[in-house]
Amino acid sequence: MNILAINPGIILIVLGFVALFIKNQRPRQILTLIAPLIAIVLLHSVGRDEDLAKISVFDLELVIYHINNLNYIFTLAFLLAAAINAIYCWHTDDRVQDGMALGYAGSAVAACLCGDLITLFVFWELTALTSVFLILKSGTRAAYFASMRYLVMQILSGVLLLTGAIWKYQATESIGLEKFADLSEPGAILIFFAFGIKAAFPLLHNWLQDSYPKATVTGAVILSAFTTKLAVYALATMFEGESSLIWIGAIMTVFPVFFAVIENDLRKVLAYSLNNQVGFMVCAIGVGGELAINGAAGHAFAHIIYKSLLFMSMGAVLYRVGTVKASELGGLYKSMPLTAVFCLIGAASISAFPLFSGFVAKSLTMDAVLAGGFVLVYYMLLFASAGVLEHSGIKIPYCAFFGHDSGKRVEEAPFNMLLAMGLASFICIASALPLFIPVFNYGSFYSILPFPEIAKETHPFSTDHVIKQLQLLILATLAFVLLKRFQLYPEERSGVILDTDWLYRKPGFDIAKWAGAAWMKAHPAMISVVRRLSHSTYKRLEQTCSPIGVFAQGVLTGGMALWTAAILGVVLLMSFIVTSL
Amino acid sequence: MNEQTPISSQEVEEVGSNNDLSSKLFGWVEGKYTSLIILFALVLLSVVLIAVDWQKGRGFYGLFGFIAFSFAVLSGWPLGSWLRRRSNYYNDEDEESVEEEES
Repeated sequence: MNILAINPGIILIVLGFVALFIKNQRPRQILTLIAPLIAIVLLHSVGRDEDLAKISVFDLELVIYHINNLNYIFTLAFLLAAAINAIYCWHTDDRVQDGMALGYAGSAVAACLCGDLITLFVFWELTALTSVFLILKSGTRAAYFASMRYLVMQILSGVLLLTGAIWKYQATESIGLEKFADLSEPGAILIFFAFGIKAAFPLLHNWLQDSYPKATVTGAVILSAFTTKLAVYALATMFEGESSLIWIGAIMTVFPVFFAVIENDLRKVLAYSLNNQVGFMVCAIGVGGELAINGAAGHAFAHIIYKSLLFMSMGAVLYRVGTVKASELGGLYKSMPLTAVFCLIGAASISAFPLFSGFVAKSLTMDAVLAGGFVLVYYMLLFASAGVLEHSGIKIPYCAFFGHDSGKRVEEAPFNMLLAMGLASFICIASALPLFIPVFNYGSFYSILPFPEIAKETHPFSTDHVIKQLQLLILATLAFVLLKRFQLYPEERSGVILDTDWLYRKPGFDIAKWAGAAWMKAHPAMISVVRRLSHSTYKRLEQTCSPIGVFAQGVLTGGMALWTAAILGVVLLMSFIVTSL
Repeated sequence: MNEQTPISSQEVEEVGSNNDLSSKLFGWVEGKYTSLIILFALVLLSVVLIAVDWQKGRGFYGLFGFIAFSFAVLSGWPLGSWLRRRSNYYNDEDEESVEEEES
């Protein structure tokens, strides 16, 4: 059997399953680290744009392994994130987390590299089933409930995907990942919403902010890398140029800004920030075209790394201090200076400061939106850029490491965590340096984009680009300093911030509870009424039709039999006449 | 082992800080005039960036960033008082963690 024809994601899933049964910590962790590295080698050992593995199931031809320029960059980012996460988890001894994290990464990779909707569905669901353990393992009551809500949404997404795939197959006899021309095509709307749930579209987003902050220290890091970006890849494959995505994406970038400003849980702030960043990618997919798809894919790659970095830094704080509540943190640079440096690199990257990955990635999307003539959307994205500077660029590092000194003195993060953060920081910088720096420059990064020739024509370090971006960021930072100085910046306070999930978690739950209570009370009374009704009906039937009933008595029985025989005879006669005509 | 088990507050107080490295990297943060220096540096940089772009963009992006950032932050005041509820509003938190947070 040719190993090069095996989808690397499937190898990771199998090894993840094996890891569940390896009791010895180090061999298991070596396996979880080596597996994604081997997968990267395998990924580079085969050609692109051909079906590398196909199987026939019933009459369906399933494409198990297919690489193209688009899924390549997503897969590479997934595998890098999996390897970095394996290092980040080195200090923990948890078979379930190690195995499930590798299985989750493998499912995302396999889903990315498949070439049909049915195979996509299988791995789509597997990402849900493996990832839920990363939330559950947190062991808290809140994490348990959040994981159940997470699972419901993820499975719903899978069900919609499968239903859409069947609908599409019935109409077109194809289960391929061909691009839909519009949402009225058979199956398109269901598949669109299936992807929309995983991408956390507005109003479908709550599972993300609900579950990620409640995951384990390491779980949140790996969760941040895969599910939403897999959905971005799927949208880019099947819904490129779908105009509704432009507005959905723009709204996604803007609304989380307001929640992130007032949120006290810093991992939840990052979850809102994730929503905001995915919005940029969704918007670019909606715009469509080579430049925009480069923007979406490049942004996804950069985002996977810097978002992991930010989650890793907050994970290190949670691990050492025991909380990531902004109101309880501050001054940690004294205890965790290296973690603070890495957090600042992640913050600079997500804020798109020049010389950091967000800058070279986001400028592709912004250029595509402006070139497409979507001026209002462009300003919405610009507002979101100032917003992301506020919540991820400033609030996260400021509240955790600087600001008011909480007096907490802890040890620096373990070496493995620092190493993982260091590697992610290196990618954030090395992928964004100007071209005169050999190898580690944005040119290398642009060369792995889906349309490298188009990317070459983009110059993020043009004076115009740099000045515009610096103006936005520096004056926004000045606003922060002034607002702080004049005590106009809202104080960080503990508490829950209501989001739209309030509708089903409070009134929805109360209505369900009321309906349950009402049913419990109504149930015995209804049973009694039904029993009485059925009893009296039976009695009447018995009195009428049973052998002791009215119809069975005397001459009437003979009369009924006679009439029945007569009617049957007439029917037979008529049938005979009709058929002989 | 649950990796998220927080270390006790006593342990937190007992553990020393990385004084050498933190003072090398961030010692400047504690300076008496640091905040003022940062403010003036930002003002100066803002003026330079707007001046460089004045002919073409009239500092539009800078102004936009300043207003957008301020709007996002200031909206936190009404939104916070409207949307913030007690920590265990949904009754799904462990009682211990809620007590810790409230204390």
